[in-house]
Amino acid sequence: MSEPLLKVQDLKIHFSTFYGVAKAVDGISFEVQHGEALGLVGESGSGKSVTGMAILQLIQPPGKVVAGDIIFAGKSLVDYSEKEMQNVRGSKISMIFQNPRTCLNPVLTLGRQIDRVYLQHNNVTPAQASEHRLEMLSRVGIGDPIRFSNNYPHQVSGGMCQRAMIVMAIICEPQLVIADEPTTGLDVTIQRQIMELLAEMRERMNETQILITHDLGVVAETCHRIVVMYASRVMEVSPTRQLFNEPLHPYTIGLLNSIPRVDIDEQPTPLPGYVPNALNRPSGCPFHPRCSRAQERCQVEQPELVPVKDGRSAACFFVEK
Amino acid sequence: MQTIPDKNSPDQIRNDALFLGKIPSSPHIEESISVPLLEIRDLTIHFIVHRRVTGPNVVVHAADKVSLFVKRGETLGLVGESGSGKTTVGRGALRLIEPTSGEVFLNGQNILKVHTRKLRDMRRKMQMVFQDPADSLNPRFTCRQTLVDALSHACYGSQDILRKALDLLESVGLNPSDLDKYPHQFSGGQQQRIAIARALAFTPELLILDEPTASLDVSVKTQVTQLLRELQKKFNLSFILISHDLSNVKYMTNRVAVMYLGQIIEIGNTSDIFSKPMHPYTRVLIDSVPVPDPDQKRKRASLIGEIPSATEPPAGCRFHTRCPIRFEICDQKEPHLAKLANGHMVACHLVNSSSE
Repeated sequence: MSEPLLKVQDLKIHFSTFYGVAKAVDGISFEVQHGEALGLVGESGSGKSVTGMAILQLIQPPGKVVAGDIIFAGKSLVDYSEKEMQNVRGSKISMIFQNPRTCLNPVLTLGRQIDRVYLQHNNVTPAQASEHRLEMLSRVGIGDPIRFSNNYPHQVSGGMCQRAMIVMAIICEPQLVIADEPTTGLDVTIQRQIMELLAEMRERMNETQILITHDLGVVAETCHRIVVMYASRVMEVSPTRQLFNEPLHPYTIGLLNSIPRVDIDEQPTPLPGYVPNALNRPSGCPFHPRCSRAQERCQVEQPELVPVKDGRSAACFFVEK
Repeated sequence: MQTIPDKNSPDQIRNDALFLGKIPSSPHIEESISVPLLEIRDLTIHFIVHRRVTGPNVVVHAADKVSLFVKRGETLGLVGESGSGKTTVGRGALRLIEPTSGEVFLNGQNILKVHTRKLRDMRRKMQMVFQDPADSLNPRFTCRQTLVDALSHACYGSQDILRKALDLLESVGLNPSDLDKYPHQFSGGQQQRIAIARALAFTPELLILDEPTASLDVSVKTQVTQLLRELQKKFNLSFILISHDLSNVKYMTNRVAVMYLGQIIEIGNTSDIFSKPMHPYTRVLIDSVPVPDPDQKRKRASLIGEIPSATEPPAGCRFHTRCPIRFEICDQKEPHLAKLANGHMVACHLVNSSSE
């Protein structure tokens, strides 16, 4: 098997707050292969966005990567200086953020913002950048790229803002694109358009993507492999089809049973309880207070993520090997 | 000044009984079975946006001639993209927005014709649960204060208030120990439970739920929807569920109205709408929902473009600019809602012409 493009090893990110240390990410490991679309699924507070930010070294104080390594194309990003990271961000790894309206600069036209990224990483004239931008905009299906470029973010819809974000993310043809909830907050019809666009970009530009989302429907349709996170830990890693057909971890099973579905008539059964607070994680397995299979052992001992079968792994004592 | 009702008045007795879950439904049901709880006729809400000094004012057609009804104990779903006017209709039904024209009947009484004081009485019968509980709860009020405030407006005497607050908490699945906590001490799901308890303080007959689970976590969403369904049975409530989450709408509602650019384009029983959607827009909307099943490779129709501006709705059928199967007449003539079987109604020329 070839060397993975990205390797996250035992990553721990802690935020020290007035009330104590919040372990936002508590020892997670996963790999992303070349050309793959990996889904990072979890509820809010599970640490999925923080993981995405950490890959780009965007964790701000009071947050801190306290342990672990992030290896991208054979090099450890943790050792990079801020200056070196700036050359990585946008050109080799880029990010699409959840809320395009708050992430775009309101006082610059969309065109200027996109050009800035391209000019930062390429030795070209502004005219060349603008030409390249217009070409990219028409590639993502924008009918009138010139008019679009002259708009300010507030003049276009949320879906169009997200398209501008996507163009900013892919304009330097990065190897890895991290999309953090790219379709949350958009209408289903626009969500479908954006999902199709991301899939098309992946195929045409040979991108590797990490898709961070809470929507199991979105990952089922777009990702090859899925990492399920809960309370700062990875619960299960599995290829998409197997995960949905035969979920291993009790959390994955509960989550899949709890979502109402538009395609079948089955009644969902809710998962009992609430997501634990980041400052006060349960001892042992973080899922044990809500788990139907929990036993005494689960309250004391933390299960490790271990390989199960067919390239799948799960962090549960009761998953059969 | 509010009138404090007589403790032994029939209304008060019914309220008390409802609280304790003693009677499942309103005693007036039998006599008014034929009259829907809420009926909206030709509700039109236009917003006038004042442009610059020189330019003309712009009219936003937020809702145009919307007619619908809600029967007792049923849930009506209002779905559509953002900007389709579903929230506006919900708010118009409560007269939180003053409609431009149309009629809204609650129990046969037109709420748009009544004066302020009577309106306040009628609003107790219809309450709203908003999308984001973190915004709709007062951050400086403890759960107790929030409930006591609502209950005092619901005209309960001071000696009963605490007992009722506890009853309410219990009915939404919270503990008495939660009474003195502030909203920020609760999780999103729990906050929404408090917001629901507050709405129930008035023993309403109709709850308008505006995206009640949109801001909640996946695993908590279903808990809240299930709670709402339980409460509906227990108190014989009627719901209007405003949502863009079609899977949830399918699970929760009896009937669905699909809105596009301020108009209802399809309305019918939930099972009919989801199993055989007639309007091309409804079809695309249902097809666009991502399905958590990687084996399902359905042929999906995706929609081009975005919802047009409500300031200048397209002529003819408002959907014709994005419709995959439009033909000549669509941009000229506006289709009317045509009746099919089972109260199913569709506004589409293609359906209308084939049924005629």
